[in-house]
Amino acid sequence: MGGRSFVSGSLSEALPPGVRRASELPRYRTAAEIGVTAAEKPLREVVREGAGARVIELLGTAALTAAVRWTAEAQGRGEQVAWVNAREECFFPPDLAANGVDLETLPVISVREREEAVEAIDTLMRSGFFSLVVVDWKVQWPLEGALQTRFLRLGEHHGVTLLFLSEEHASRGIALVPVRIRADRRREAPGVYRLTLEIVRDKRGFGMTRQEEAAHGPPGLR
Amino acid sequence: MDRLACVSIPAFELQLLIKRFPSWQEVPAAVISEPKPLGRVIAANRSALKAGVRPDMRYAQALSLRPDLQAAVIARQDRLTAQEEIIALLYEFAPTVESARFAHSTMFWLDVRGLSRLYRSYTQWGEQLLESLKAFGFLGACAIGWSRLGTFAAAQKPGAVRLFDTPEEEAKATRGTAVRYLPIAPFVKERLTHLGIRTVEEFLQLPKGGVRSRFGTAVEGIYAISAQGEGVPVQGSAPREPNRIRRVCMPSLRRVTPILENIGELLREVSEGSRRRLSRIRSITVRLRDESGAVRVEELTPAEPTRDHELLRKLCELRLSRLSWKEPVEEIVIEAEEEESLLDQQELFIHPPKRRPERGRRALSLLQARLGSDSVLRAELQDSHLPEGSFLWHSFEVQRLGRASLAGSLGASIERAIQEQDVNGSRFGGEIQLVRRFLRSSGDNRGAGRAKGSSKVVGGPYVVSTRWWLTPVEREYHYRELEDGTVEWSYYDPERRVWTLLGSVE
Repeated sequence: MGGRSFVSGSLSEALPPGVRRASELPRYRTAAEIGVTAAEKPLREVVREGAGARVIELLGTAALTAAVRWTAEAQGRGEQVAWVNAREECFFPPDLAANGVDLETLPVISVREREEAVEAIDTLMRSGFFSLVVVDWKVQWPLEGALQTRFLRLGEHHGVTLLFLSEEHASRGIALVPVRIRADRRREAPGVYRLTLEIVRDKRGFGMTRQEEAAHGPPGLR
Repeated sequence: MDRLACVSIPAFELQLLIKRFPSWQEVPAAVISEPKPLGRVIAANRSALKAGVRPDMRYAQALSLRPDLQAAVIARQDRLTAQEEIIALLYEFAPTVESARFAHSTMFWLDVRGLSRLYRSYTQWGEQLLESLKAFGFLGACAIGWSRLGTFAAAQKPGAVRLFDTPEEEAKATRGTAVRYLPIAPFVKERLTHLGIRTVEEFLQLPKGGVRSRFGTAVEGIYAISAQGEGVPVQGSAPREPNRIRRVCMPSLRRVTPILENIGELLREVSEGSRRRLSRIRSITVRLRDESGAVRVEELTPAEPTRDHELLRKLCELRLSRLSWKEPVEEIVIEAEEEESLLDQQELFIHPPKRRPERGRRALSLLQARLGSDSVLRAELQDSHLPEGSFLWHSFEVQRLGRASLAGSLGASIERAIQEQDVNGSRFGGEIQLVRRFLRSSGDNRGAGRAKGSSKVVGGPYVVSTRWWLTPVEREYHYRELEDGTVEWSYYDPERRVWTLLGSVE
């Protein structure tokens, strides 16, 4: 049977096509190498601790990632989180697990239409059990004033944070939302990204407006 | 002497665990007493045993041997419910069933007098019983003989039926049975070995008074079996009659309001029945038969076991008010699945927390009733090379909300420990990973994967080739960045020459 033999301890022969030495593979860069400095306190925690930050709008090219990190951190504090999303699409569960989310204790309410989403949000917030409700339903539904007010009041009364993912053009109609955060990603090196969180609307006066974090892409993304 | 049979379900909790988590069949898995580092391993499967995990070991110690050990607690109520279901199944094979429990094995004695007239042989009877048990999800062993002890000692090999033709044959086999085949705790087997006791005959020669003090009540129970006089008939535990009520509607009902009124009255009676039986209702099944003979079945599960008929009526109203009937309803049947009403004394003294789990369960239960049982879900990861097969959606078990899961308590704390690494200056191993959005009906996205306009490849093609043992699947996965910054995730099937859009990176 054919085979190639190598000098013990080194690969001195030319490698066959498609085979690379491990030392030639791109390595992950450290956060410091791409110029990201860890803040004393993550911006997510600053916003969470801010009094009355009960309805938060997330948009940008990394909004879903930011929402997942929010979920993982809430679970890490022992809090209960619920997600509401559309039947046609959802997060990719292995990526949530990679970010430390406990899938077993995360209920996902899957809705078909706007009225069902509103009912789900209302029911979850009124229970007072969930400290964070994430609404991942980026459809062009204007969140009219009455709904905005209702959710704000429910959030304040029950101590629930409503975090909903939005799109640029849809967010223009959401005037009463006190906090709007942009989450964007930028590729810095193969597989390494700079994640920027920026508060673009701040009616609560947090002080901090921008923060950067290092992130890596899912398997296969350069 | 009359014949009797013994059916044993070895490693009962372990079998319950695998029944609940079928994907744990091939990975190291164990049943533990509590989801804490100091919890004890109660039972472990072959993969875990190979890695050195042993019963009675601390959970933390087991994890150190095998960090990927899957483990869970089997609640007492789950065990009792499964036992009741098995008894109900066994009653289809014998008129009297007596249950016993020894060291995490569950045993049953069955009165088999006269059954040889219904089957070709006792062996055939036993084989059919084990087949039914297997179809129900449990592996059991069966022995048919003349005494409790003899059949008990012989019913150890799963899937096998042992038949003793004569009492003498049984007695001889019993005397020589090794003690290690008895369902007793490992530490007891070790002590007996140190005492030089190796067979059942030698075990029965121990002084009766010392067995309990030295080895505990479980071993005393086994000892007591032999002390029972021959000829004591099997003492049956009668199966509970289901809590079911039926009403024929005369005249038939066309509209929702009178249907719900009737259901409300029936639920009041069902709840009262549960109260008399000292049970609580875990779920109800409502069957509505119309004049054409069609039957509509709705199953409703309250957030917590309850006897509150108003809550059950409310759930029915939420579910049924959206429905319509072409034909009038002429019969309503309601059946309740119950559980023992256990009083958790700790709940009497703990101050109610600000965030009350029962309210969360109630909220999810209401949403299930209103939006459908397939609307409240949880994701479970699967072992698959294909991304599309790497997870499944399951209905969220509302009653487990707020009760710490294994991952929720131990796994999450391990994850937190990893995440608390100082990112600045550390060897960055990827604390934050970008998350992908997944299009559920990706089959409808065929042809949509080839990005329109200009785009650049930012990942792939990565070829995944799998399922060669069934229908080979080969796919090339790509990431493409569009002009607006969107990163699409798609794959190309070279055999079908079709692009499919899976989702995007957000």
